[in-house]
Amino acid sequence: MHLAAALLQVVLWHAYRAGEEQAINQAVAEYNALARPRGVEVRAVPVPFDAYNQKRASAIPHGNGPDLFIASHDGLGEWRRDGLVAPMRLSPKAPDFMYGLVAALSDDGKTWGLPLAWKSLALYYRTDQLSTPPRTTDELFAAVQGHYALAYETGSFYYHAIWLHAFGGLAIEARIDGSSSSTIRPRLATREGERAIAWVRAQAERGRLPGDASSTTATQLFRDGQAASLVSGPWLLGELPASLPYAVAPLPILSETGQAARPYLTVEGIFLSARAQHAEEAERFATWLAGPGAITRAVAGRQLVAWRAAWEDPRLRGDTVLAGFRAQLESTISLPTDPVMGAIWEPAQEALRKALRGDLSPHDALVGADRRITLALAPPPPAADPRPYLGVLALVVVLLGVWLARRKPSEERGGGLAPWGYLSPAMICLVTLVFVPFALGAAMSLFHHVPGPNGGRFVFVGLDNFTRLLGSTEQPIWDPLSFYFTLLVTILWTAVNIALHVTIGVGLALLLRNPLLRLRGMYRVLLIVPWAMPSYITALVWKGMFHRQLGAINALLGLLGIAPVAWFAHFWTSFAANVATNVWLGFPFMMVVTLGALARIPSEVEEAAILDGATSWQRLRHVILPLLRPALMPSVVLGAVWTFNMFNVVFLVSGGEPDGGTELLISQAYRWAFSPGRGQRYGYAAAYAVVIFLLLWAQSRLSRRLTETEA
Amino acid sequence: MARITIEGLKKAHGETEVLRGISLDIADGELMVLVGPSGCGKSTLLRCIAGLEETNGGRILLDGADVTHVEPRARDLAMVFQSYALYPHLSVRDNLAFGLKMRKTPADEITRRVAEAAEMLGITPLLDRLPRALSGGQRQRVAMGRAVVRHPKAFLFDEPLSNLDAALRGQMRLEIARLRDRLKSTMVYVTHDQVEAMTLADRIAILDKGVLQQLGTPRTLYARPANLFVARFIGTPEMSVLPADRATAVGLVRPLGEGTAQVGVRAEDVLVATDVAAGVGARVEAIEELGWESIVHLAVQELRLCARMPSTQAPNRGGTVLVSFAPDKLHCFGADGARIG
Repeated sequence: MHLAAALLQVVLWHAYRAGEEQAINQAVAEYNALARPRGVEVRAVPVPFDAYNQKRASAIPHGNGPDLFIASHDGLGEWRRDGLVAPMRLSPKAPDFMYGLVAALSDDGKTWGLPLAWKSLALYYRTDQLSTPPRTTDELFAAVQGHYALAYETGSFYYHAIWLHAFGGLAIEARIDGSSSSTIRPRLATREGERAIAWVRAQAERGRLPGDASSTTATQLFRDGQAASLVSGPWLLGELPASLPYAVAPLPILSETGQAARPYLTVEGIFLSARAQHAEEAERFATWLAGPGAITRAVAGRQLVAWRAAWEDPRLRGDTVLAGFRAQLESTISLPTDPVMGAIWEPAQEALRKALRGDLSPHDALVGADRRITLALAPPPPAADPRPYLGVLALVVVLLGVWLARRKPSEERGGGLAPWGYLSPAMICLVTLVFVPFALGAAMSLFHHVPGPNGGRFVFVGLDNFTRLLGSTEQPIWDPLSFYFTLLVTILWTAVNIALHVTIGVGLALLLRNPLLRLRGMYRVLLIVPWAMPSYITALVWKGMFHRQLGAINALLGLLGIAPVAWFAHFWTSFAANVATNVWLGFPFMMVVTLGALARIPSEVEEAAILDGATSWQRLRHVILPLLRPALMPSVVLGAVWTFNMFNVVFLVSGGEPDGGTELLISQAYRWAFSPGRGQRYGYAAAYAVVIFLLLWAQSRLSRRLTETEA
Repeated sequence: MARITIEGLKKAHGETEVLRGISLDIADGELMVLVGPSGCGKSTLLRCIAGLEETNGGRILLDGADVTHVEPRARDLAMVFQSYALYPHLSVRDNLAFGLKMRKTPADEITRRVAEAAEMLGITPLLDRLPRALSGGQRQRVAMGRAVVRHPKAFLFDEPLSNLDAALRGQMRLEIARLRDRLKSTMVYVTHDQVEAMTLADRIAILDKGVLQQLGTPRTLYARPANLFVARFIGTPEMSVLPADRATAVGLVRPLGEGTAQVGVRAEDVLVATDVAAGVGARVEAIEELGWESIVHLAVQELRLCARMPSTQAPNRGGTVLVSFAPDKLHCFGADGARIG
C-alpha cells in the first residue's frame, strides 16, 4: 500500500480478451520491471468491449478516465470532436512502422496516437483445394467446382466494401469533399456501388458464394471444406484448428475490373487521453509499447504488430499466415476517421441486405440509404426563442398556485406537520426517482443535442422535435423509421400479444383445472417457470433458437423437411419471432390470474349450469368466461401497458431487424438516443418518450372508464 | 313427472364408503325427504340422482329407464342448491331463462314460462335485477323459479333453506309445500332438519353412515322408529332412552320381554303428577318454557328423562314429582339397537 502510493501510476484502458489480454499484461509487466525503479508503474485495466465507447466518453471529460487507451483508429474523429484525445508530443518516425500506419493516425499535421497493430481482411484458402493462392476472381472460380469457391459475411458492409473498392468506388471516403467535416456528404448510390452489389448477387446466383451467410456460417463452410476460401481477418486465427490445411494470402483481383479487392484497414493505436494526469510518463510507455513491446504482443497475442523491426524477429519471420496479412496491408484502404462514418454503417448495411435479398434493386436500396444518411447528418434545427415557452410555463405555475391557494382553506386538514413527516420518506423517493427524472426527460424533448467536447451542448428548439416526430417531416410515413409506422407496429404487437396471452393463459388454466389431470401441481409450477426467469435471459435463449444456422427452430423445421427460415430477414417472420418470445414470457401471468379467478367461481354455479342443460362449451361461453371477465380486465390493461413498452424482447430478439421495421416506440426512442449513426438525438428520443407517456396515459384512462362502466 | 328408483346404490370417495347400497323407490308426484346428520350421505345420494357424481355400483332408474350413466343434461332434473348458485352476471330474468335458452326453447315460449314462474313465486318485480341486489329470501325464490321454469321431470332440493334465518325458513317451508301442491311433481328434498323433514315429507328416508335406516311416512317414523338411531333423530325433544334393567330396577317399568336392552319413551308419554301416589319419585332438574308447553328435565336416581306438559301444570325447578309412563307407549330396543315388537 505504502509502496503503491509512492509510485506514479499510469492507467491504461483496453478492451482485449483472451490471448491479446495476456499479451498486454505480459508487456505491461515487462515495462513495469524497467520503470518501477524510476517510481513509475503502468496499470492495465480491461474494459468490456460493449461498454468501451460509452465508458470512455463519459469518464474522460470528468477526469475519471485513463491516461492512455487502446482502440481502433476509426473513432479518432469522434474523440477529437468530443475532446477526449490529445496529440502525441513526440512524432513517431513513420518508417519505423509498417506501411501507412502512422499516416492513418495523423491529421492536421499532428499525430494522434501510436500504431500498435493493424487489422484487415485477407483471403484464407484451403491448401487441400487450392494449391496456390488465386490471383484473380476468375482463377478462383475456375479452380473450384461443385461447391462454394468463396464465403464471407455477405450482409456486412465492412466485408462488402472489398468489392466496392475493386469496382473503383472508393466508397465513402471518395465522396467526402471539402475540408471541414460540416460539408461532408457521403453518397452510396453510385454506379460503382450498384455494380458491386449486382456482381455479388450474380455470383451468389451462380452458386459461387453463399448469398446470405453470417460470419459463423461462412467459417463453418470453410472449415467443412464446403467453401474453398474465406474472407476474414486475423481475429479468426484462434478459431481455426491447427489441423486445418489453410494459408492466408491477399485478396484476389476482381477480373471484371482488373483492380484488387481492397479491404479496410483498421489501425489499433494507443492514444493519449486529453485529461491524462501523467502525460509525459504515459507517452513514454506508449512509445515503448508500440516499439520494443511489439514482440511480446506479436508472439503472445498473435497481433499484426505495427513495429517494423519486430517482423525481423525469427519467430515472426517464418509465420506464413502472418505474412499473408502483411502482404495484404499494402493493398488496403484506411477506414475513415470522420464521425459521419457512424451514420453510414447502418443504412449501408440495410441497403446491402435488401438488395442482396432482391427486395429492392441495388439502385433503389442505395438511394434509400443515402436518404437515411442525409437525415442523420442533417444540420441541427435553429435555436428557438425560449421566451414564449417561459411565458406559458409561468402562466401554468401561477394558475396552479392560485388553484392550490383557493383549494386549501376549503379542506379541513389537522395534524400540523406530523403527516408531512410520515409522508416524507416516500415523497423524497418519489420526487427524486420519478418526478425529477420525468421533468428532466420532458424538458429535454424541447432541446436538440449537439455532440461536442464535454458531452456536447443542448440547444433550445421549442416544439421542433414534436413537429418532426408527429409531422413525419423527415421520412415518409411508411418508412420504418417514421413515428406512425412504428406506432402501427407497436399497436399490432400489443394487440397480437394480448390476444395470445389471454387465449393461451385462459386455455391452460382451464386445462389445469380439470380434476382428472394427473400431476396438476407439477404442470402448474412448470408453466409458471417462464415468468420466473429474467426476461432478458429468455429473450436471448429465444434469439438463439431462431438463429438461422444454429437455432433449434430451424433444426426442427429441417426434420420436417422444411428449408431453414431466415427469421430476422423479413418483417413478418421477425415480428413472429418477437411475438413467440413475448407470448412465452407473458402467458403465465394470465394463466395465474385466471387460475385465481377460476378458484373464486363457486362449483355450484357450474353444477347449476350442468343441470340447466348447458354443454361444456355453453358453460364456458355463457358462465365461466363472463365470470372471468371482471378479474381479467385489469390484467389485460396492465399487460397491454407492459407489452406496449416491452423493450427487452424487441431489443434482444429481433433488434429491430429487418431495417428497424420491428422496432416498438420504446426501442425506437432508445435507438434515436443511443444507436451509433443516429446522431445522438436525445431531444428527439425524449419527444418519443413524452408521446409514449401520453399514449399510455390516454389508454389507461380509457380502459379505466371501460372497466368502471362495466362494473 | 317421474318415478325415481334407486337400486343398491354405492358410492365411495377413495377408501371412504359414502353410500353403502341404498335402495329407494320414489313414487311419481311424491315428496321424498332424505334426512340424517351431516356426513350421512344424503347430499351425495341427491347428487348421484342429479348425475353430478359418478356411482360405484347399483342403478338409478327414471320412469324405469336406467340413467345411471346418463349425463345430467339428458336426465332433465332440476336442482335447487343450498347456496342458490344463481349466475351472478345475469339478471333474474336471464337466470330463469338460462336453462331454456341452453335447450334452444323458442323465444316466445321462454318469455311465457319465465313470466309464469315469476308470477308463481312472486318475483315479477325483481326480474331486471342482478342477484347481488337481492335478499337471501329473494335469491331462494329465484333459485326455485329457475327450477320451476324448466318443467323438469323431478325437483331436487339440496338443503335449500339452511342459509335463511329461522322466520324466513318457516315461511319458505310453507311456500315449498304450496308449490308442491300446485306442481304435483316428484321432489327429492335433502335436509338435516327433522322439523323440515316432518312438515314437508310424504315419506322420509332417514340415513346414517351411508345406510338407509328407515323409510316411511313422518307419522310412522315418529310412532314406530325402527331403531334407536331413528328414535333419537326424529322428534323434539329427543326420546328418553333408558337401560332396560335400570328402568325396571327403579320401578319405572314393569319387567320387559326377553332381549330388551333399552327402553325409550317420548316426552309426551311421560306422565308427571304431584298429588297422586302412583309413580316413582323424580327430581326436577330443569325446565324449558316454550310458551304454551314446557319441557321438564327429570332425574330418577341416575336416569334422565324428558317430559312435555302444558306450562300451567309444570312443577317448580328443584322440586320432587312422581313420574309414570303411559301404558303401551314404550319403545323397546334390543342390544343391536333394533326395535322389538
